[in-house]
Amino acid sequence: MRKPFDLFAGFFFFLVGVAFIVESNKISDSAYGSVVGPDLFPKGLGFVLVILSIRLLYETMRTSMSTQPKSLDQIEESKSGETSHPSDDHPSYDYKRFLLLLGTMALYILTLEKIGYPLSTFLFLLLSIQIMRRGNLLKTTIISALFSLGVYYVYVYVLKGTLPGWPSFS
Amino acid sequence: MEVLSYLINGFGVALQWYNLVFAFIGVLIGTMVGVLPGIGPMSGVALLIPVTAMLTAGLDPEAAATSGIILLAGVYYGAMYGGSTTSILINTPGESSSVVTTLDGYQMAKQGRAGIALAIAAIGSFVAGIVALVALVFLAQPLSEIALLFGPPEYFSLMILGLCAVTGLAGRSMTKALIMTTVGLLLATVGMDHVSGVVRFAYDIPYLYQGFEFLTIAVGLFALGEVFRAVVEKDGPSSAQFRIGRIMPTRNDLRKSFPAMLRGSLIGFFVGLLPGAGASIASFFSYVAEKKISKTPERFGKGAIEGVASPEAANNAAAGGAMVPLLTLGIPGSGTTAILMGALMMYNIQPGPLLFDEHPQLVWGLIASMFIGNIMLLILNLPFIKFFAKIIETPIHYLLPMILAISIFGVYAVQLTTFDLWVLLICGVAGYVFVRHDYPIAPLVLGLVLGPMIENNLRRALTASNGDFLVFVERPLSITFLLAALLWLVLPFVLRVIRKKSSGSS
Repeated sequence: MRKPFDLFAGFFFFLVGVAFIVESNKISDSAYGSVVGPDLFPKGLGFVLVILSIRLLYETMRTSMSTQPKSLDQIEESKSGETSHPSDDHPSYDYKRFLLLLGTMALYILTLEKIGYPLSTFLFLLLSIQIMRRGNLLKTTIISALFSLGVYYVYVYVLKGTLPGWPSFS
Repeated sequence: MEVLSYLINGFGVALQWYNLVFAFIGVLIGTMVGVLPGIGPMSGVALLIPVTAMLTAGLDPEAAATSGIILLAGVYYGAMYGGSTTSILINTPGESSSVVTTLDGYQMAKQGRAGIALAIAAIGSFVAGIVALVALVFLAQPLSEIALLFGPPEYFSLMILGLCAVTGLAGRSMTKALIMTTVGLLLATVGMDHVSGVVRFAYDIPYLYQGFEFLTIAVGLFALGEVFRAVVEKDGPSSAQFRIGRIMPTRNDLRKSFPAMLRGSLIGFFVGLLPGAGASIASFFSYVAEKKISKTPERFGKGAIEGVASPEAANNAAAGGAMVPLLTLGIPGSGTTAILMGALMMYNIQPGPLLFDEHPQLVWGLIASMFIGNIMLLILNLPFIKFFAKIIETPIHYLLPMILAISIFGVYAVQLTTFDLWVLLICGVAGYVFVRHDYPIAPLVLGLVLGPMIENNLRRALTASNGDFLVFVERPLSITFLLAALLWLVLPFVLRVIRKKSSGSS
């Protein structure tokens, strides 16, 4: 039952297509005397996307239960469990952990340039490993420290790359 | 024998000590990527692009590109080797291309013949690698000479064919695949237009003037997407219960599997040549073919050694075959080759027919290093099968956060802006949501890579014809490509109708 998502996706892509068509009109329609300008390609694609999203909406409305022939991809997919809509309260989906991890990543990105690579990476790994599985703090700390310092040392000192360093507190 | 002298030069390049090291690192990481379920060759190659860029930073540009692509190609075909290991040992394919291997490989493992199955898979991959390379050596140059005759309309039509082929085979719903392709092409239009210098869809965000960085999008969609999927769906590798047993196959095993390997290699190479078909289809075809010609088809699915040898050979040969359109025409036929192409373009090297003239060192060095890499893989795999089997047991709660950290490091090291990290994060979430709802992401990446080239050729063709779209239909080669593209899109519908009819009558 992927219906609600496909409906949403259909509308979303429809709007994206329309947006590209509208925005393309603001771009110059010729370049150096050529009859084709930089607006042609995105505008054309915008139309294609609009048509495709209408077809997706149509298909989604029409087919709800009909079974389709099994393809290679399906064999592959069946091993990863059947897909369903995100709002389903499926017991095997762990959204709390996912959101926590996502938040940790956002925090990592926000702090990366403020407190530097080694420190922010260490904190990120420490938190995210603990989110994945609580416990064994010592091992987690050692792994996080080894990874963040190791990458920083190799990249900055051996390969002479640039990464935000230690915080300067000034 | 011009080809031979080029090849000898290529070996000269590939045998330089640092290129040997790069090839070794590539195949080693590739094997690990293949063994770890959840990281496919696409995310593996995408993740390693920044690492490669920093490893090769000290070399001059062309040598850096050569070494970089040697490493990345090593990851690609190394992953094909490694993918079979988990299929055989724990009935979980590491990549989609080794799905078929589970059918007989896991049965062999249950019978205590896991070691032999693994060895046959490694030998099969090796044979296929060599077959594909010999074919590549003799096909690549003539093909690229033909391609030199192409004008903008031919290129445009050929790329449309490539896109349609990948789209036609990706996922269950062609509409969704086409949408993803279009979105990829549209994303490629953001930023400065290469023809006129007009900035499009950037909305005064300076980071967007250069357009979306290919690497950021690819790493986000593939690597982060897969990590998120594993986190949400708690998809950890199942605990392995296996006994490897004897590794060296008997003479009888070899006698039975060798012809199967050769057949698999040939099927694989030619399927790999076709844009879009790729390794999964190749291994599937070869398994079916092997079962058809076998005198005892009832053994298949119960641990037939040919059922391991042939598809494993086929998926490796397909990896070699897929290099042909990439190197000669500059058109990637699969997601992974699209990422390899993105990597080449990051090194400022445009794959295509001119590649053989402009960068012979790179092309032949790469080809020669694939010979060497295949030998390394064989040496690496036979004695160390037990070691690689251990990798499966890496605890996922350490592995996933590290993949995230490597993704962030890789993107930041190349881009040096946190803007790209936010794009990365968004792409990761999008990648997971798309895959979860059967929106294939390989076409999107392909569209992103091909977008600027398609647009360029479209506009050059139209400028030359003064805006007349008939130019694509009037030239014989161009119309052939376009018709073939149409066929790719229509064929699945026809097949479905036929299948429905036949299943209705039986």
